[in-house]
Amino acid sequence: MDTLIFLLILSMILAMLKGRQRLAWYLFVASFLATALLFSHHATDALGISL
Amino acid sequence: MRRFRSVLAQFCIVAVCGVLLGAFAMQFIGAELPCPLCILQRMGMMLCAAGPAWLLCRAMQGEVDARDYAQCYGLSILSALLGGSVALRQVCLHIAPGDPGFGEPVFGLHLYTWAFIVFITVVLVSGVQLCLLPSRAERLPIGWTARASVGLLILVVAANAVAVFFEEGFHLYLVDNPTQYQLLEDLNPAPDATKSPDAP
Repeated sequence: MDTLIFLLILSMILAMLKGRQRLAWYLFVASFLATALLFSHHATDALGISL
Repeated sequence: MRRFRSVLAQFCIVAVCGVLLGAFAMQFIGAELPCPLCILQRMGMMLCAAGPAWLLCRAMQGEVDARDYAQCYGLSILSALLGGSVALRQVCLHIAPGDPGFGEPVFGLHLYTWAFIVFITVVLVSGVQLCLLPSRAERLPIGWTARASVGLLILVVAANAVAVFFEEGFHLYLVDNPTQYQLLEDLNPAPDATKSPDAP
């Protein structure tokens, strides 16, 4: 999961460099949401209420 | 002022990459494997640096206007809020008196405390950039330093992706307190691990 998020961020920066603005936005939203969800998982896992 | 805006964007990228390289040095030289929250903070920092990197990429392709600045620094502020939340949670996990914290302190503070300071600084610098928005579209001076700073960010993200793949292996999540590179462990299991519990 963590590796995939890093790959999403890497793809986003490469899309920016290539001028693919819309794709870069999609990849930013995807990596941001994935990071937030992973944080949510780690924050709630110990409590047994993780998604 | 155009040059100042360009230099500030490059400075943001290089500063964040410097912090990430410092964390990398702690991982490989200090032999301290990052925990899941440390990895999340690294992701937050990379997303923060992606804002100014995007601005420079847009400037390489032509003129940039106030909307471009607002989008790129808005992206940085959102990422800093996310990363700052992760860092604050880790600070709170170790805030109890007598708790030694996670990992070795650097200049008296643990890495997650430094990370929180970095995220606050990103919000401040992004706020300054948003206060200095240009009134009309302009062409930013883009030299080799701008290209090098974006290249450095790409290298740092790629290196982190490889390092985390070694640490996580083919598992879905990182363990809470990693002590070894899971991929190497899975490929070359320790002799004791291959023995059946019933074996003599």
